[in-house]
Amino acid sequence: MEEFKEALESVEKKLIASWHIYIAIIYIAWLIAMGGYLTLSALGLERITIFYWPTVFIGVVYVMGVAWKKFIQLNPEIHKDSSLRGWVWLSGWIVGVIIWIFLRDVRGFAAIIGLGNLGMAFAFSQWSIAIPAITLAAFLKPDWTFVNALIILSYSLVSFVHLWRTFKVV
Amino acid sequence: MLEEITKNNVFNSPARLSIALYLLPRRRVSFAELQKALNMTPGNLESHLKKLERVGYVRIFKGFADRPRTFIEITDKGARETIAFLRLLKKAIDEALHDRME
Repeated sequence: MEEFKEALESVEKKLIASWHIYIAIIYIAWLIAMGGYLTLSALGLERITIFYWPTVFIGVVYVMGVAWKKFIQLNPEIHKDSSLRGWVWLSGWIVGVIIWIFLRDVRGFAAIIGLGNLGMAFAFSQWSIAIPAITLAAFLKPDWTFVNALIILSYSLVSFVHLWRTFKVV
Repeated sequence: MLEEITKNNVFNSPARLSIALYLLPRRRVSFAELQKALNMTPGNLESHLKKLERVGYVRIFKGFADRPRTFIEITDKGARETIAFLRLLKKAIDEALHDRME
């Protein structure tokens, strides 16, 4: 009987580990996108980014959709109010975009990243996802290099936290 | 509670429970992968999958990966029912262990 209980617990742990991996995948996908953009910029190919960002955006949003669908499947408690959570997530991005439209500078971009991730943290009920809100520090030091560095640092931290949690449960 | 577990005519088969648990954390799995992972014959796996498909727990579809293949994915309903059954099993074992200790 106890062996059977252990087997069930190990299945449960694997399920928890897999949803941590789905979160890490989202952030790693964005890091790849950011890395590609910085590489193109370093090569002086900024003009290509007009095509690069829309393509990458569609690809990463697709990955996020797949990860979100699996995440809520594995979390019945979150699945129950997933549409409300999805709207809060989307609202974070929308408010960020509105701020960007008004400011049209690095602070607006930081608002999209910061508020979008705060909405996402609520949607996933994972407060580690709120780490990228540190990009809002751009309101104190409006500088593109600073914001890019904060994005890479915070997205790497979120990926690290969730991979760490994966290893802790398996 | 035990009655609830034994009367579940989908997961009263360990093979169907194994299929659902294998599919749960994954996005989609090919028929060949599932067969290999669970060490089942094609006929046996197919009959269990058909039962799971009939109750709406899995979706079976044709896709292409190097060559045409059959893929299986768990549905929202299937995921919900599998997790609920898993929790029910765990609760039953906890209660049984508790009773034995008393």
